[in-house]
Amino acid sequence: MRKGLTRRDWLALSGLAVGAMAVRSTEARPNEAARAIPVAPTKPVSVAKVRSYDEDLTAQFRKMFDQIGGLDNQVKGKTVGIKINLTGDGRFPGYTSGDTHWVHPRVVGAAVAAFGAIGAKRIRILESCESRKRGYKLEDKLLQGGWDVNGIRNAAPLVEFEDTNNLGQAKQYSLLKVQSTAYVFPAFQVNHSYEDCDFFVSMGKMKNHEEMGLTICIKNLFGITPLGIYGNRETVFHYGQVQAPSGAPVELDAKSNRYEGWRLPRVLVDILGARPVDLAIADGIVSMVGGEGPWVLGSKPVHPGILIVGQNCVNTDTVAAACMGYNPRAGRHEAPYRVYKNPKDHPPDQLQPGDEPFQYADNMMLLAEAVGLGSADLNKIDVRGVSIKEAMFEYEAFWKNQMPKGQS
Amino acid sequence: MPRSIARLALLLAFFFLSCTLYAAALPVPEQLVPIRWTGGPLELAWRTRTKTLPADSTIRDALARWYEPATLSLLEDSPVNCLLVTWSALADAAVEAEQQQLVKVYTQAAHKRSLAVLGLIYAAGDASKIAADAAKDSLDGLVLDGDFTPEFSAALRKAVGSMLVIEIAKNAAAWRWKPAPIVALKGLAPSGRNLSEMGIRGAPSSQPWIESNLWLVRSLAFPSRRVWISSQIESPSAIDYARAVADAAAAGGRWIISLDDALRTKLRVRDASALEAWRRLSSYLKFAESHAAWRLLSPYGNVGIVLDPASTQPDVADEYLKLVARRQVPYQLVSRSELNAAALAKFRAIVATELDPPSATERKLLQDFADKGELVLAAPSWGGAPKTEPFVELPTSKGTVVVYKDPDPDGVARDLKELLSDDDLGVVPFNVPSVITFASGGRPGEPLCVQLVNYFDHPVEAITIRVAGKFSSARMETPEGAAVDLPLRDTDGRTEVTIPKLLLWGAVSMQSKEATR
Repeated sequence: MRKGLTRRDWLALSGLAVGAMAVRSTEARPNEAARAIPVAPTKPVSVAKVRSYDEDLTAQFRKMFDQIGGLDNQVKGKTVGIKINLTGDGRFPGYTSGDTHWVHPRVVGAAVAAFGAIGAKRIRILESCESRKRGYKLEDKLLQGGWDVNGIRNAAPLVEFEDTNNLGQAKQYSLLKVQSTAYVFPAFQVNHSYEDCDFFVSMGKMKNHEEMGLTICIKNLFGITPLGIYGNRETVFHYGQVQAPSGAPVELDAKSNRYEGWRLPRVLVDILGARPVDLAIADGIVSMVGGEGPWVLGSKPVHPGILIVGQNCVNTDTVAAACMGYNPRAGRHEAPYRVYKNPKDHPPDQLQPGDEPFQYADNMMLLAEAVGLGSADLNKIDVRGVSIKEAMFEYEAFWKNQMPKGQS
Repeated sequence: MPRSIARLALLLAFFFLSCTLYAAALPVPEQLVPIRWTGGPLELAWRTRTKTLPADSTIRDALARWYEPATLSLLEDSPVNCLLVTWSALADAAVEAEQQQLVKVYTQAAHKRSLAVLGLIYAAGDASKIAADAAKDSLDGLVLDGDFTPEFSAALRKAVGSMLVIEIAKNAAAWRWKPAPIVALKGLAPSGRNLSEMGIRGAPSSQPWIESNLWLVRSLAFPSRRVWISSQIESPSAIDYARAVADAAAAGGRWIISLDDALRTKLRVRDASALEAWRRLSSYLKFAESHAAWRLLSPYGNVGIVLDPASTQPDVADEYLKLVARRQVPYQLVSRSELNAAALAKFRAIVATELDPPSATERKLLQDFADKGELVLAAPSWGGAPKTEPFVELPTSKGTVVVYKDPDPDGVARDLKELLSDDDLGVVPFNVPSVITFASGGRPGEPLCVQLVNYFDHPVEAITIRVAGKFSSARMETPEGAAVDLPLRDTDGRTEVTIPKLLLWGAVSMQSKEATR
């Protein structure tokens, strides 16, 4: 416990007392008795209003990089790894996947160009492609989304693509230990590219998520866990139905809560603790509400016109959540964390959490804050560029529609 | 009947029919571009009986007066050259007589414009009388459009002699191996929808639901045989009509154009919006007919799907053809009766799940095929089927036999795409969730033609097509605009082209630098 603060003070400061005790302190910090509460760091976050992907996004990124203090010293002559956010191939009529549920290729291209311009030696585009096809490449997945792969490849002197769902170009997986206090897993095995990069970027889409409430830059990291090791992310990470296969780090307590609304946010924070993010980029220029992909019933495209950049992933997601109209410190009974799971699409044991009468997801930003990965307190975060108020786009107005009548 | 004998019989039938139509200076069967051109008192009587008579009196009036000669002028500047007119419906004798008198006069006028006229038969009657009346009134053929017994069909065919008789069939498999110059099938109104629009929560990997007849046409079309698709679109838009034309024509077939009553009513009075819709539909027809050479290209596909003409489960076979096409895997059909080493030599993979079990000869053929380094997908009767997993890969000396526990067409189609390399597939399109592609040609001296039909109303941008081999040029043609040359990219020994935008239907013709297969 930090000197001078009581448990009550800590709760009040963190905001956990508000919102029906979103994350109980004992759950938030599993080994708190043994460790002091780390101070959650803050770094400036830049917010911009960007109307469309046709704008000069490279210039926009250069401006935003400067607003957060400049990245030249961290990037020049270095290898930059960018974990982009892709998911299923579905489409809303009239939209590309990059518009609504993947990061947009022009955002990727512009970021690559901006990193190239400030002297990055090598830029690696990273994501796990869930294809069993032999010889399948990340570039193939990008082509499935209609991306101009060569355009991105040529946006900087040396651009590589790697499907991180398996070994890729390495002979073995990298073991990344959780550097913060681990909630569920002490370490993860990942593709080498997540270790072999000097500057790591999580580039996420600002959207809702059917089970987690939100998916931005922290949630984007889920995809760094390779199916080549873990086999099935749902059974291992979401639900804990099976243990990680032999050779992979095992979870700390195999009897811990299996409800995904409790478990997965903690796993995500563990991943962030294992592979800290040097830069978070949240693409909310065009996006979707009501879910993470068009396959979620009731979801729909929206045009928030927001781009956010920050050097602390938790700070950045906090600002992004606020720009989406949410209280970044919301508890599990508040939007967007009080969720609705369609009974047809989830295991029965995932529909009724044992510890609450309502389906929920814990706030991963507060969980990350609790282990010192970054502050989720807007009062402490230096927001630059346009204000949150100016940027705000109310996702919640749409999210409410996802839940059938009588269950809200 | 094996396909080679079927082809010979087809050519003979074709010859005699062509002679008949040639005598009247009318288009030969393979050139017929059909349209439903129903009307007259018999049409109203039939619709009254089937409770499909429109409530709108304006529409009823337009239908009743459809055989006024002025309606023929609507077909000027259109490739349509074959009218399917209301002819026989087992109605009141006076109504039938009045109808036939109308049609007789109309047929004479149609013939002056070199339009063929085929009489629609909705219900079985006296086959001899129908045939005699049709000949008397100079019809060019008859079309059976309804439920008929095989006996009636046979009697009618016998009674009409060499006159063209087309039966709009519901069962594709029954016609796949039969000789006939034209095969007409009940099809679907082509369309595409996201599962979520249908209230279905799909998986992230789910594809949109597409209703298409493209697979049906490709499964029945010989170079000299035309496949007609009969489908009615509910409340169609101009783009729905254009899509129906493209969906049938891409693989060499023809949609029996079916204009809805409201559009026809407006066309009759030369309503500007109706004429514009008709003009757009005609532009798609013209595009199809001006690229008749595509129909003559050899089938393309390194995957062979073995079909058993004697199968007791033709619906399952159809599902394979439909879903493998949906997964964008180019394939060719192989009749079980024509399965031999020479037939297999052109393939890299064989879907042999219909051979359940394979005979000893078939098994040896397939084993030899796999031993040469190729892929065989087999039913559990092959042996070694897994107990829990969907399939097991059994290595052979150089290739693989994949044995399914319980093969289902959707799973096999999906697995096929993942088990084969891009080089094995030959043609691999990217960013086509709402599109179905059809490849043809590609043999020495032939261009490789990849046609694409979009089943969504929204255009698709940035489609990439990856093709095994090296090519010197790629040209994109669409009904909407002038042809454009597409830049070629060499990627790991393959060629890629990117189509900037596809509205509804397009074709990329690629000229090879060398033999690609």
